[in-house]
Amino acid sequence: MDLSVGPELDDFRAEVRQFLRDNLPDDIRRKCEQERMYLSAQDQRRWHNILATRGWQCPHWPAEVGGTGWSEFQRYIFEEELAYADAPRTHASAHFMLGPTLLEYGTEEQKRQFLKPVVDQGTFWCQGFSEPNAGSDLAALKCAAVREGDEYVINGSKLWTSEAQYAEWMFGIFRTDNSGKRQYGITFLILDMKSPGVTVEPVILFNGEHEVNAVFFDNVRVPVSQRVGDEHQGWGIAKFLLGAERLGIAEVARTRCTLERTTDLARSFPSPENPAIRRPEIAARIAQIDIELRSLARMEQRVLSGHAQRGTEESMLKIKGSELLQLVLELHQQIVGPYAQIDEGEVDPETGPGVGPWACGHAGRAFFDYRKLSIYGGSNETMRNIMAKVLSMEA
Amino acid sequence: MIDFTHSEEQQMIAESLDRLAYEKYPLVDRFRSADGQRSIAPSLWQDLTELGLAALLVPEEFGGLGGNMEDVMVVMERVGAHLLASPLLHSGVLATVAIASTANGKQKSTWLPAVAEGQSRAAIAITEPNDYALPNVFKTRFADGKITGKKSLVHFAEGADFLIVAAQFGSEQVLCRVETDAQGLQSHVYPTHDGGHAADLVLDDVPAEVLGDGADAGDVVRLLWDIGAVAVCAEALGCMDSIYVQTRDYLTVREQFGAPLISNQTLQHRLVDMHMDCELSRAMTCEAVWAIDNSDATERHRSVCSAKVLIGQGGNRVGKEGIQLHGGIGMTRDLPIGHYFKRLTAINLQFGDCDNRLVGFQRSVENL
Repeated sequence: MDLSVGPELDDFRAEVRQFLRDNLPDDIRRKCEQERMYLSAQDQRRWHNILATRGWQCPHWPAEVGGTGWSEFQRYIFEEELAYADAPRTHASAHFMLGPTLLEYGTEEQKRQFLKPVVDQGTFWCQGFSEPNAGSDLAALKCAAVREGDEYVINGSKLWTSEAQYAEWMFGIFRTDNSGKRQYGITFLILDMKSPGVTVEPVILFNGEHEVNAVFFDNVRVPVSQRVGDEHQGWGIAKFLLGAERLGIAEVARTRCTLERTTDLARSFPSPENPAIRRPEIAARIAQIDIELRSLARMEQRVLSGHAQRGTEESMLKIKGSELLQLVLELHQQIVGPYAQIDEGEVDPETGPGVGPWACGHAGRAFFDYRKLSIYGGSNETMRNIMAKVLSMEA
Repeated sequence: MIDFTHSEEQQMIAESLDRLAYEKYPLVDRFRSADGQRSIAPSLWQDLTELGLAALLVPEEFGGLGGNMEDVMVVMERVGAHLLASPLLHSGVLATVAIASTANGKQKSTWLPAVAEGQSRAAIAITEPNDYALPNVFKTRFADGKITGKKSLVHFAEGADFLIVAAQFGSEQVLCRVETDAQGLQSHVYPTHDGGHAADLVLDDVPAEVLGDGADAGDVVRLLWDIGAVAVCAEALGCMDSIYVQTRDYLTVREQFGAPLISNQTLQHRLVDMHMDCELSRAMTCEAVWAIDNSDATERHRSVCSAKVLIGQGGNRVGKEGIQLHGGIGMTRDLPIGHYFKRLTAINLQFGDCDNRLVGFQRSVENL
């Protein structure tokens, strides 16, 4: 066993850190610092262009498709440094889902057609998986694609589609056959969001944010050349996609930063003379979360080096990662106390209010918003089902 | 004999609130607009006063109903169930108790009838910047008929006709009436996550009238703090029960993997835990309600702290589980679940949060 990082990676880390220090725009940094997970399309494109000046806009892809060709641990360090700098991650659906999937299952033509524009222009993608009646039970999906000559004709709907409001393309799974097992007859297709018959309707969350959408398909025609893999065999591809990217699922570095920010706040709030961290229950909670975060960080490293039980890796990282970040945000709220009631989203930060301690900032909003962490991307219940299945088969 | 049943009159009040909510403020429609919760405010206050609720705690001799804490519990629980964000607690309960317990005869007979009829609405300013809870000494000072200081998180201050402000007067604490249009009063209003609003107030030599003869009102301030806590506990019961019922119903109809979700034993257990949180919270709130009207200050404080801790923790769990068990749909604006959760979160933070009330309980036991 050797848990040292090694000098070559130290140099790499320093290089990334310096780049971020010099190039991350302050307004984007502030949004990340305030736990805004989704940036506007404009901000994402700006960030893409900034990374592109260094050739880092697709940090997780191999060099032959325009990526950096970095090793897994370089990519890990890059993600850590993004987190420590309060820099945004790259556009998830294109980089962590579409990319690995096309690299594994796509034709050369598909890789050229779809990956190159992500590298060159930062094309936005969205993921068409969940449906109103296919949530945790994804294989229950009904949105139909019927083969007509060289095209599929799609009718139905998708739900919870993140960033569909500005996505230019969608990849998704569609029902092409009903005759066999439910996992059979699902086909993985790519479609242009500007196709006639595609309608995007916002689904507003209870904190007032617009991130997810319902997407409706009315006779949407998709060329057969945009099918990935074989007809009816998309379930395996979807499963591959969901498990392809372990990196960053647990968001260890981001949670560590959030904990550090929260701890800093506890040192000065509500006043430097009488800071929250002197309350034993607050200090104990910070310590508890810190300990759990250390274990998660090492577990993530073990997973990345292939040492965890196969088939449980993503689930463990997802469950523990989401639970811990939620705990930190709850701690933040505890530190801010009654001032977490204030809805900063509607107050002008320049003029707004007079005498309340304004450090409370986003405490309430982030606490509410991040309840979604344990629901999306496969709910934690679904993740536990997967683990239970894998572990009981081992027994 | 121990009896947890509410009286017929109390049940009638509850039913009249239910009717009002179903007819005029149905939850299903309210959240479909961006500002659903705030949009009901103007007519809601009028409707509540027409039901006589602004007069609930006003003594009968001043045109009120002469109610007690159990009446408040019954009303606040329905307020919670229907998410009726209004100044009822602040004007109809806290300011009214402040006046009724400290003001002199002339003040009562001038102010209370107007409060009872809803013609005059009050807000109550106790907490100060950077306070987590009730301070032992207020930084806001009263002297020579004037108040100077800062108050923060004054709920529903905007639109109020007058304020009841707690201030330090030498070594004593006093409650004062301040007109909202008084010289030297500045207010910064902001929305709160639960659909209400609050204000930070800066008072600079603002004319103020002391309630009563200026004798120490510290006990009354602490009583107000406890009454506020119990009232929001009762409100939380309405929120928690609603979340529980809606979650149970949803798991019953929602099918995944060819069966209703509720057929999963692990989800059944989680519903059971939610239900136990609701039951324990109700039991504890009953004790705290009883204690307000019947126990001495120490025992009252202990009961109120117990209720506030239990409901803070239970409400947090029930709210989070309600959303989690709904899944994505529980995160959406159009469903009430998230809005109950936001209100429960606010309740947990008001009148002393879990940490604060746990310490409060601990101290009172240490002093036994």
